[in-house]
Amino acid sequence: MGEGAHAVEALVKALPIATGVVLLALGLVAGSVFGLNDEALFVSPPEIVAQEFVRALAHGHIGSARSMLTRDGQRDTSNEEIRRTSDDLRSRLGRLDDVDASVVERRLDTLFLRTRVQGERDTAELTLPVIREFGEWSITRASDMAGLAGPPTGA
Amino acid sequence: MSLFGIALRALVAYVFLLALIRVSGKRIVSEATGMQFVLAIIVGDLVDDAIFASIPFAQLIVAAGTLTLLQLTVAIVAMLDVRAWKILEGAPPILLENGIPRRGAMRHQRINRKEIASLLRLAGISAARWAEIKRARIEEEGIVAVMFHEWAKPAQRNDAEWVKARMRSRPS
Repeated sequence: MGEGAHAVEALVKALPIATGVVLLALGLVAGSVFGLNDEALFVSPPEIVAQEFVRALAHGHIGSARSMLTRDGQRDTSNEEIRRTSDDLRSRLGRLDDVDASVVERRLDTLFLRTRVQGERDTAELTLPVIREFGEWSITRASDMAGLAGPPTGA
Repeated sequence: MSLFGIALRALVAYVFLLALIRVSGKRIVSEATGMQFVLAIIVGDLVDDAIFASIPFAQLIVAAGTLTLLQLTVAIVAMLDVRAWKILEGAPPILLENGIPRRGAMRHQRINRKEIASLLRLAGISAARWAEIKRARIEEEGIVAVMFHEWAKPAQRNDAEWVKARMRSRPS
């Protein structure tokens, strides 16, 4: 057998092994998330989800913001609504300077996060409810987005 | 964000990527082709996001795993079929033939005479020795592979023995 054939054989053998490595890693992560109820190690912690959601809105990344909503939230919210909120938020706060989120309350499976958004012109604060859906934290109610574009609280 | 969480995610990412690299071959950055270099950058960005929990860990596994499997599949196809190899990886173009730079290949590779001279100098070949070059190709990894004319190749042990034999056979 030539060197080329050996190389092909080695690569063909590598395919199922690489697939196995990927499946094993996914299995370990799934075991940790669903079996051991991991809420913040192999899934994005709720604080990060809230921050990324607001960042996506502030940067006008509508699809990205939408993907962080729960299935129900995505069904009930149109892209147009998200875009409007994003536009309002940007016109009110200007360039985003900082986002900070912290858990203030836990009610059954829902966490409430106080999210403070600091822009170059103004600061906004709102409470975002998040729940775990398919192991990941997601923003539940799209209606809470309206708070992001509400009246100024003053810097 | 807890430092312990960051450390644990970094550890798991390291072990996962180490396993993938060991399985798929060691060529990631050194001697990497253009595509492998791009893949390394993409995976690096994903690892960054996963370590700081901006994305769920499963996304890193799926994305890095898919890219690795694709890379392996492309490598297999390229090894099995020469036409596929030319399409997927591109046959290394001849930049210099019989000591003369080929303008078409230079234009295609967006490389000028100075850069060819630089690549050849890195291979230990000065401009004075270009005439000795039969063909110089630029490989996908960005290095130059040089093939010398027979007459320009350095003398080997066999050549010395041939000369000795000729000397002995010569009538004194």
